[in-house]
Amino acid sequence: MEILRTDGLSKIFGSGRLEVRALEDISFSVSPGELIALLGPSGSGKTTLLLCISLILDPTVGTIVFDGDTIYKNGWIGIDMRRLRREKIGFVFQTPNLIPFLTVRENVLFPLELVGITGKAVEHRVMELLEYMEIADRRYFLPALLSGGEQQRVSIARALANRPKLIMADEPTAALDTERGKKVMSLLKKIAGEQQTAVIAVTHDVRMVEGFDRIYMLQDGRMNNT
Amino acid sequence: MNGVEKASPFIFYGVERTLKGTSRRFTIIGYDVFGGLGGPKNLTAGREIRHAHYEMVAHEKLGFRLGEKVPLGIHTYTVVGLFKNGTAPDGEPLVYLSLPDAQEVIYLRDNEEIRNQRERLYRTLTRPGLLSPQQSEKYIPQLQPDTHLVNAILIKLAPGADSESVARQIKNWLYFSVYTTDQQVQLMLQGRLAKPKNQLLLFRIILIIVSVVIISLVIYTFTMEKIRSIAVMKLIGAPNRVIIRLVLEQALLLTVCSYLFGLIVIHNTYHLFPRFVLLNMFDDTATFFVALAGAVIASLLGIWQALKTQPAEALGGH
Ligand SMILES: Nc1ncnc2c1ncn2[C@@H]1O[C@H](COP(=O)(O)OP(=O)(O)OP(=O)(O)O)[C@@H](O)[C@H]1O
Ligand SMILES: [Mg+2]
Repeated sequence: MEILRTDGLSKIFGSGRLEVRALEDISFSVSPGELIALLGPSGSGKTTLLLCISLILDPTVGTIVFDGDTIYKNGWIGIDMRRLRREKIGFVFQTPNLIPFLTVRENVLFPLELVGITGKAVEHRVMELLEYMEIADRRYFLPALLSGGEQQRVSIARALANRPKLIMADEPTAALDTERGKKVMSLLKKIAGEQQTAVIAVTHDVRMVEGFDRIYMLQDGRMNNT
Repeated sequence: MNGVEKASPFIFYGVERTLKGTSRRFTIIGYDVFGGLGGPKNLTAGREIRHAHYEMVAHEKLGFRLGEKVPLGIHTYTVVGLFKNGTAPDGEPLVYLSLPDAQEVIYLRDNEEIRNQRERLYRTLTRPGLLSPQQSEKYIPQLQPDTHLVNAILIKLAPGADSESVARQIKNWLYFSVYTTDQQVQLMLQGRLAKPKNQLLLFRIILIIVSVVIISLVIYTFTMEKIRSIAVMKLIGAPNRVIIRLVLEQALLLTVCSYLFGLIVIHNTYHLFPRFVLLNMFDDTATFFVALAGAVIASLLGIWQALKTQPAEALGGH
C-alpha cells in the first residue's frame, strides 16, 4: 500500500491578473522504500508540490491520502499538521538548516524530544544515527565548524531520527559539488532500501537521479511520469 | 503598670551643628545609659556609653574615629563607639549621648548664647511697667528653658502583654500619646517618609517601564536573528509552546542576570547615597517578581514575531 497519494491536486496563487497556476491536476503516489525524484526547471512548481504534500502549504483543490488516511479533500480534514510532520515526515533541505546554537548531537536530538522520547533510548538513537551518517566523532561540535557535506549528513540524521515513513528532500544536493551531491543521494538511496522509508527528492540536476525508482517531470505545474 | 516590664526616658532632637568645621545635620538621641531602653545597636566598632557623661556613640557616616574628641555645645565628647545600621526618620545620621548630656547639648547651646538669652530676657522683663530688676533676676532662671525635659518614654512590654491594651491604659490614665512600634513605623512611612517613598516608587515604575522596552527590543532582535531556525523548527513539527519557550527563556535569562547584577550593585553602593536607603528583603523580592512579569511582557513582541513565521521560510536558499 502506498504511503502517499495525490489526486487532481492543484495550487493557484493569487487571483485575477496576478493568478499563478503553480500546480495543475497532479496525481501521483509513493510506496514505502521507494525513491522518487521530482525533476523540472526553475518555476515549474517542484517546491510548491513538496510544500503541499508536506502539509505546509494549503493546496487549492484535490485530494491527499497519507498513510491510509485522507487528510485533504478540497480542504484539510481534522488533522494536527505539525504533529503529523514531526511523527511521520523527515525533511532535508537545500542548505542543511541546522539550528546554529545547538551542537550536532542536540540537533539530532531535537526531533526526538519533540515526540517525547527521553532517557537512554535517545542517546542510543542519536549515536546510531550519527554513526550511520559517519559523523559521530563530530557530535559535540557546533554546526558552523562542519563542512557543507558534513552538515548535510547531520541534517539527514536529524530527518531520520523519528523513523519517518516519508522523507522530503528539496534540492538536497544543490549546495554541494557533484561528488558530495552523489554521496548524499546514495545515502538517501541506502535509507530507502534499508529502512523502507519512501524518499521524495526534488532536484533540477539530472545527473543526480541515477538509480532512482521513478522520476516525475514537472513542467509549468503539470506532471508527466518518466 | 500592668503589662509594662520596663520604662525609660528618651530624648531625640534633630540639630544642625558645626562638626570639624562644616555644618552638619544630625539627630541626637539621649537615653538612660545605665540599662535603659533605646541605646545603639549593632556597633561596628568600640563599645556602648558606659559613663554618665562626655561619651558618644556616632554613626560611621559622620566620619569620626574611635577616641576622637568632639566639641558639642559647652563640652567635649569622646567617641567611644561607631555603628552603621540605623538612621533618624528623616535619614539624618544619629549621635547617641547619655540622657543628661543630650539634654544639655540640645537645650543649652553655649555659654555665650545663654548669656545673650539672659540679657534679652532681662531687657524684656525690666521694660517700664513690667518688673523691677530684682524681680527679674528672680524669675529669669525659671523662664529659661528647662533642661530636664524628655520628649518620649520608651516602654518595653512584659512577656505576653498586649500592646493595644497597655497603650489604651496609658492613654486613659496618663493622657500621653502612645504609639506601638508598628504604629511608629506606619506614622513614619505615612508622614515624613511619604514623599520620598512615593518618589522612589515612581522612579522604580519608570525604570521598570524603560527596562521592559529595552528588553523587548533586545528579545525582538534575538528572535529576528533566529527566525530561520524558528521556521526550521516549525517545519520539522515543533509545536508553538516549544517556540514560545525558546523566546521566553531568553527574556527570563536576560532579566534574571540583570536583576542579580543590579542587586549586587545596589547592595554594595547604597551607603554612598546622600540619604540613608533602607533595603529590605520584601522590596527585593517584589521587584524580582515585577521584573519577571516585565520580562514576560517584553517577550510578547518577540513571541508574536516567532509565531507568525511561516515554516516555508526554511526552504529554498538563504
Ligand atoms: N507564495 C507565492 N505567491 C505567488 N506565487 C508563487 C508563490 N510561491 C511560488 N509561486 C510561483 O509558483 C511557481 C512555482 O514555484 P516553485 O517555487 O514551486 O518553483 P520551483 O520548481 O521550486 O523552482 P526552483 O527550481 O527555482 O526552486 C512559480 O511561478 C512561482 O513564481
Ligand atoms: Mg524550489
